[in-house]
Amino acid sequence: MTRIASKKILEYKGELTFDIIEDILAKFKENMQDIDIELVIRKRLYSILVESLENTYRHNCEVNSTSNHQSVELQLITRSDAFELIIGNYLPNSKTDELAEKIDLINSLDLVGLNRLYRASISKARISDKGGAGLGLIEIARNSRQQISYRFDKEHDKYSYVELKINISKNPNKLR
Amino acid sequence: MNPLIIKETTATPEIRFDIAKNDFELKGCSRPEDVRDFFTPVIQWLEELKAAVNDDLIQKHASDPVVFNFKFDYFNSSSAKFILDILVLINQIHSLGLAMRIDWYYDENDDDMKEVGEELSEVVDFPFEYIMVEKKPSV
Repeated sequence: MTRIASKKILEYKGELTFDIIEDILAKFKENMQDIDIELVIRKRLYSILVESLENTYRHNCEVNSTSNHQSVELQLITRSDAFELIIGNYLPNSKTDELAEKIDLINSLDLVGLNRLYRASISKARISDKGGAGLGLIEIARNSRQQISYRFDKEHDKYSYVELKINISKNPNKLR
Repeated sequence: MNPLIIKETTATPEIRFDIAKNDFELKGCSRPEDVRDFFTPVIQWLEELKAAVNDDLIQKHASDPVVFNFKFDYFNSSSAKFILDILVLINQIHSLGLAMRIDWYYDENDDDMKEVGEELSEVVDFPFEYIMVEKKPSV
């Protein structure tokens, strides 16, 4: 049986602030220096990391101290032919259906469809009270060019832990 | 009009808008902590420029177009919304008769950035000039 080598590039568990995001991104750049990949993949990975962190920062909700996970949990792993970003945070249960619908829609589209959705969305985008333009998930999908997988763990009647898994091929020409 | 000069940080781009010198540049990485706070003065400056367009300014730039240089290494999706707003304003100012050009710079190994420019150009319906540069990657 062939063993697929994987290596953790980045890991973080805890609260998320803008300063902590800065630290995580600085760590990412530092740890990526020794990894030989094309610039276009490096930038796509960076973009996915930024959008994932900013989405989490905006939409994360406060939870009890007895929760199963930390406020945010993140891992970035490199495998032989792809990177995998796993990011989890807590979301109010009132928001989980909306998130699932959004991801399901995005997953149903090919790259042409995603680009069409992005162009339609950016034209009518408004910055929300949380500071986002509603384009983050589309941008993650456009850069990853693969399906976003997700799961919800309902830990409380008010909130659930949501985990996203995003794969990024090391082949810049790989399409959805 | 007074020039708009915003210095670059790790999370925000350098912005230089100076109509007297015909020096317009947006450069670096854009993922501000508060995107509205960062870009509102930029949008306001362009709206003032739009209000200031008159026959003298049009005449002055008839053979020396106002050139906006976009030299982004990266911008997040929230910034993209405001970059689109900037481009819409540039197009509106151009429609008033002021000769303008948009130069979109991209790294020779970063076709994605060129494609992002092509996409914005299509959304705004304003042609860009695409300029490839040899540059050290910042990410």
